[in-house]
Amino acid sequence: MSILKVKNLNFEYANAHILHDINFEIESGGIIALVGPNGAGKTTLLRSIIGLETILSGQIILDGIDVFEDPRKAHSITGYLSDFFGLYDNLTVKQSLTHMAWSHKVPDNLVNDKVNEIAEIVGVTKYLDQKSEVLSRGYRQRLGIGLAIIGNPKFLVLDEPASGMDPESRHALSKLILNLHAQGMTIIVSSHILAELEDYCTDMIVIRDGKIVKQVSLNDNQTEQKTNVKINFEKIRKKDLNLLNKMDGLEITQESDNELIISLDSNIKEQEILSNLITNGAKISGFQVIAKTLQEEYMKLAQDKGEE
Amino acid sequence: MQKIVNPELTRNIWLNFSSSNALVMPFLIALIAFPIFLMFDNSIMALSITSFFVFYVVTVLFGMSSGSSGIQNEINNNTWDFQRMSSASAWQITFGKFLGGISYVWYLGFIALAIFIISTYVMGQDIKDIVYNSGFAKDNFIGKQLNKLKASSLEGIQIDLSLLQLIKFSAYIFITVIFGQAIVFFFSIPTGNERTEKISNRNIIGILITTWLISQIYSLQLQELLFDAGIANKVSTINWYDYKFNALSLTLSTILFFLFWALFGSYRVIRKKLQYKVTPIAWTIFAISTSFLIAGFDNIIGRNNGLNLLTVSYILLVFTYYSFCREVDDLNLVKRFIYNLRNKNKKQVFENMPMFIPTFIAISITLIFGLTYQLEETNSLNKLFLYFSILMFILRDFAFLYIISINNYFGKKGRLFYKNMLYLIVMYIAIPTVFHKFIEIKSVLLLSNKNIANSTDLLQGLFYPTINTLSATAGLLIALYLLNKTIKKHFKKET
Repeated sequence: MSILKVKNLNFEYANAHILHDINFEIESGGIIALVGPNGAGKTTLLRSIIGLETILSGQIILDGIDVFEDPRKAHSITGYLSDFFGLYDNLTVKQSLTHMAWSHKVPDNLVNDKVNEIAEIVGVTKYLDQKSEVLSRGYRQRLGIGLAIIGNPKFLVLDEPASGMDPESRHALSKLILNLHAQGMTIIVSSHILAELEDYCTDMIVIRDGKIVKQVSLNDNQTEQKTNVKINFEKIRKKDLNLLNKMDGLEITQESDNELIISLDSNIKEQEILSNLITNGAKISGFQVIAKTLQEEYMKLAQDKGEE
Repeated sequence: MQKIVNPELTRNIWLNFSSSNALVMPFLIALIAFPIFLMFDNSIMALSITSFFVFYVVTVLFGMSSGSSGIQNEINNNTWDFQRMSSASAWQITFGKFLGGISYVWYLGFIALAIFIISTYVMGQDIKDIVYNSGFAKDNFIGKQLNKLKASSLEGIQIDLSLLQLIKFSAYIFITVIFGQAIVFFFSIPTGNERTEKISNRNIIGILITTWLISQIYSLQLQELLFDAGIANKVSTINWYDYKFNALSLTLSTILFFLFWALFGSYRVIRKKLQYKVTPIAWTIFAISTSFLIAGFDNIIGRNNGLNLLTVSYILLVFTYYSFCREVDDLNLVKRFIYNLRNKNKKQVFENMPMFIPTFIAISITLIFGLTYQLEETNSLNKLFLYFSILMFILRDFAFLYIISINNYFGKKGRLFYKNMLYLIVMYIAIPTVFHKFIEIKSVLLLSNKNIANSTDLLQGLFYPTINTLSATAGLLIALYLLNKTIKKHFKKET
């Protein structure tokens, strides 16, 4: 079931047409990566679909709500963390969360429990009595997400959430996003750094020059299209290569002294390849399925675009 | 944690009322004010005057900025989106930010006001003490200056000053200061989402207006006291239309009228910022009601009493130009308006209607009646010509102001407001002043010189609306031609 439908969305500033006839749908329950180069219109698109910007024309239906007609209702089911969000630095983490819980009309008698629950989810429990200004970048990000989700949103929008974070914080953020996803939220995450989206995204929407270039389901992609397998040999023999070349639905895409990367059609099982090689006497030290990466998909699209 | 009325108010109270702020600051202020206290011989009187001075400094001089910066701070600190995405209502945010912003200064202000009431009451009921400050030490500057006033005929007069009168006076001052803070709050809500917009000039204007109003309220209240004591034989009255009103009551009523609109206006602007659909209905009602309110005071500048629709039209003109200048840089709004107009989306046309349009329509209506009934020297046909001339002048100005706005947007950016003001000064003051010998202009006020209104001179008609519509039409056509050229230059055909 789709949670978001965007039809013929156009957005303009006085001097520029930022979004051109955008059309796409998002299924409920996914984690969608919105990717594109800087200035592609990612932030404007995200802010438009949650009703923070006034569009020129088009229609956005978020969980059955016409966002343009009733943006406040759309806000009530949405959480949003902007790329340059700020915190009330002089408030403690607990005060910040409590204030936002009240602002989201959490009943007074449930506010304390809600604050503790959100603090637990985003991992800031031990900082509840600290002022926000003393938090590290990673924990500020966690608190920001906590403020965005305290109203129990169905739809969570994170704009460049990992920018400026160290690898450890990024890893923690990935876990947090997966955790929120497991609780039933549909999440859309924008970034121009694809590596950070690898761990958790199920779908990818590519935007360029204010237009949707492609929408890909990453899971479908892996099953319907080719699978890449990396095989490490102690030494590659000629008869190993001959065996692989004779097999249908298989292509050697990369070859070095003791490593091959092969591309398999979806009807070929990786185990079958491994079994044949071993039977043929190949000395194999490693065998690994390489998941199709966002980077590859994105670069492929970029290449296609270039060829056009 | 306990919520105080609403989340936003509570947040501000958390921020402002730390134990050091709540306890240490009053003592610190008392310490700073102590030298003023020492300037007086009479310690109770010193307390009374010093506490009022502290009240003024805290609530007016500091209160304006602390009350006004709420939303701008949210934008500057990137916290505004959290608020916009929350379920907090526009009323909650308006009152939470306004009352929250001024809560601390009023905490200090109420302490000072309470000390003022008690000390003034305890001081005794000697009006001369209040009026002349006879307790001032003779050898300091302020004492010397104020003691010069002693020559007044009120020397030694005694009147009763009840606690109730003091509380009433304090309530008037409270309303006046709140009004000042509310208008500064309204004008400080940024039109866009830009960061670091400076609002200090608005604070200064707020301080000046509030100070002037406090002095008015003070002198009118004093006059009432003297009247009640049988010392003065009358109190000031003001004619509003054909009716005579007590000056103090009318001043307070007018303050309350604008206080309501400042808060309601803030609420409407915040509603818009929360993405609610906001039509220009409230603005139109405000502009029309205020125009009629102000036109009632026409007798103050020596005009006749009764309803003067030409005066109403002039005031509406000010509102129209003001709203135009406030919105002229929002080219997106104009784009959306035109887009919906072209696509016949009636509801969206109304929701995206620039505010100057309804007030312009209101001018068109009041002006036609004003000209019909109040411009006796001009015949009916000429009145019609004059009517169209005035409307064409307004449209001409708007076309030129749009050209300035578009060039400002795409070209060298500057403070658009000042550019707009410069345009109006050049068109209506500088050029006529330079060419006054040729066009015989004696006044910059529209229609105030009936000879100009009735002039058929082509040149004169280029500078001011006259019965010569040919000049006005030429001016409008030139402006529209230039606007069209500017639009073609900067905008792509796609929209």
